[in-house]
Amino acid sequence: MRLRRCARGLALLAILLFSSAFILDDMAVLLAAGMLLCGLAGGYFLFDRRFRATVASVEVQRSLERSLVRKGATLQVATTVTVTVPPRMQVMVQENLSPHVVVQDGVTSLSAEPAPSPVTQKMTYRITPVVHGEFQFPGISVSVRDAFFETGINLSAGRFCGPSLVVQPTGLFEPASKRITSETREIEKMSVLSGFGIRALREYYAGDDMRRIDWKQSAKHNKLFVREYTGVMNIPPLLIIDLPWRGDLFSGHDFERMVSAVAGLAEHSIKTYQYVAALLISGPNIIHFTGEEKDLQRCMTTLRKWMHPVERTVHVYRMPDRSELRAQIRLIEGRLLEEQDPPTERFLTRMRSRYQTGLQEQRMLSFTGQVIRTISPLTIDEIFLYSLGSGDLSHIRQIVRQAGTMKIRMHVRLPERKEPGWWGASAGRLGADTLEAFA
Amino acid sequence: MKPVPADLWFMGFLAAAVILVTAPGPAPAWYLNIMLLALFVAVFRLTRTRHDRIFYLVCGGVLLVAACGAASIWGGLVVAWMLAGIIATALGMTGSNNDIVAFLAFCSGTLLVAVMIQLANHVLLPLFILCLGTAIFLFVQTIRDYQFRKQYSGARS
Repeated sequence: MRLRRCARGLALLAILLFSSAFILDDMAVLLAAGMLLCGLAGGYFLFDRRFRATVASVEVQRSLERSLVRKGATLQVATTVTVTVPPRMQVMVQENLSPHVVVQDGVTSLSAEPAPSPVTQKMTYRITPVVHGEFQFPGISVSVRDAFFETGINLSAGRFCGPSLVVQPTGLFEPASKRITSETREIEKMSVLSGFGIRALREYYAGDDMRRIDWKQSAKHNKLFVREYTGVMNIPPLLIIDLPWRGDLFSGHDFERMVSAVAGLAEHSIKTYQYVAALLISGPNIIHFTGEEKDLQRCMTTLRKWMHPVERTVHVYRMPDRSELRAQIRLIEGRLLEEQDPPTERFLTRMRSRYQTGLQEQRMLSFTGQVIRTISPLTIDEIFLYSLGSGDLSHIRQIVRQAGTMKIRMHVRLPERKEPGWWGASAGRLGADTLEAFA
Repeated sequence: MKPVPADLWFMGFLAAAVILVTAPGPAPAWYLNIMLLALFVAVFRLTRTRHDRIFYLVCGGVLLVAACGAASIWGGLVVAWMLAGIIATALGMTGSNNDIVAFLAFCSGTLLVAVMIQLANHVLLPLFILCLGTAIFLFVQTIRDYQFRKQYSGARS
């Protein structure tokens, strides 16, 4: 228990009066000091009683969106706390969080004011497990204060804890899998502009275009049949939003501009193409994927919900992939053929040996596999990637390479850089079709 | 007609108690007590809107208790009770039965202190008893607090 400012002042006054009474041998001063002491002790006793009553009234109900997740996935937690707050007291309830998780956003504490009946409040927040294993939610901490005293208690008994969350591990690498090729998708919709594919055959009705009659089928069934052609639809681009890591040093202004640019493109996509697909990543971590979002309001809600700096469970730093290592080896071998100087030759031979060792050990990143699995089923011909470009850009190169393999045009949008020559060098490094600064 | 607030009743009783205690005394003490009463009334009026009003009321009132206690211990005790009533009203503690019980418990505690002071010839013994009582109270509270926290932290008792 701690004394608040007012009680500290009164305690100091009591000590001064007791000291004065002792020095002056004055009974009247002792009476005044005794009165203060009685008041403080009584106040403490009352506060303690109310504190116990408050703690005894606490009920906690916690629910998880899922009880089994992979490391790095984000899930929502809702905790409902019911507490009776006595008069003239204030109660603060805070969720105790396991060190195995980080909070992405939401509310993890609440305060309750005095009320005659129990107060029920809800905390909703999202967490990302950063360590695998099974763990329980460790309960809540309750802080109670009145005008003179304040105290807190960690409620970690069984009825305040739980439920358990099982976090499965994710590897950094995965075995190379067979390339999943994107397949063409028939658009089973009528459209003003017809495609070449035949969607269906149906009987001829008066007014149908004579050019659409399928004469072969008509002759076979002795009835006129017309062809219904597949519709032609423009394909919207896929938005990839690379969210910054919480520990990154980035400009808030740039982030706001990126959010604005992404929201603008998403709105344009829905208005023009009827839907938008968005993939949210943060470094080599897949955060969220929205396949075909047709509702503009829902899309904006999703963007508002997810677009903020996040905690990353996996980081990569200058991570080359196999093709880059092979290119380096080829470059060195080319140099070796021309090189005459023995020390340089020895150096290049050693470099080649290092790269070859790296090539043998290098496997495909899990992130790359996830990107391939996400992009492959989509019918897209271009991707817009928005990033703040802070920190390592290896994951962007991985996406650009996979997009290139799938014959998808890649447009990278980064904030404006002041450094001279950055854009030219970066464009070359990233290998994107276009690299522009977002307005 | 608007009812008179409880703190004004207590203030009236306090003023009456101070005058009654002071009236039979010699001249210098009389002036001092009335000046301290005026000071307390000023504090009472001027700190109405302050959130730390209790501290100022106690600081102003404790001088009055000491001054009246010098004339008569029982007079000082009555002033202390009235002061407690004013402070309880300022804290909003006049509504329920629990508040009345708490006020009566405070009056009983201060009555015991006053009896002890009345019986003692010097400050030392009552001071020692008060300090010992406080230490025992804090010790018992610490043990109770430990047991309470243990129960709610999930440890087996």
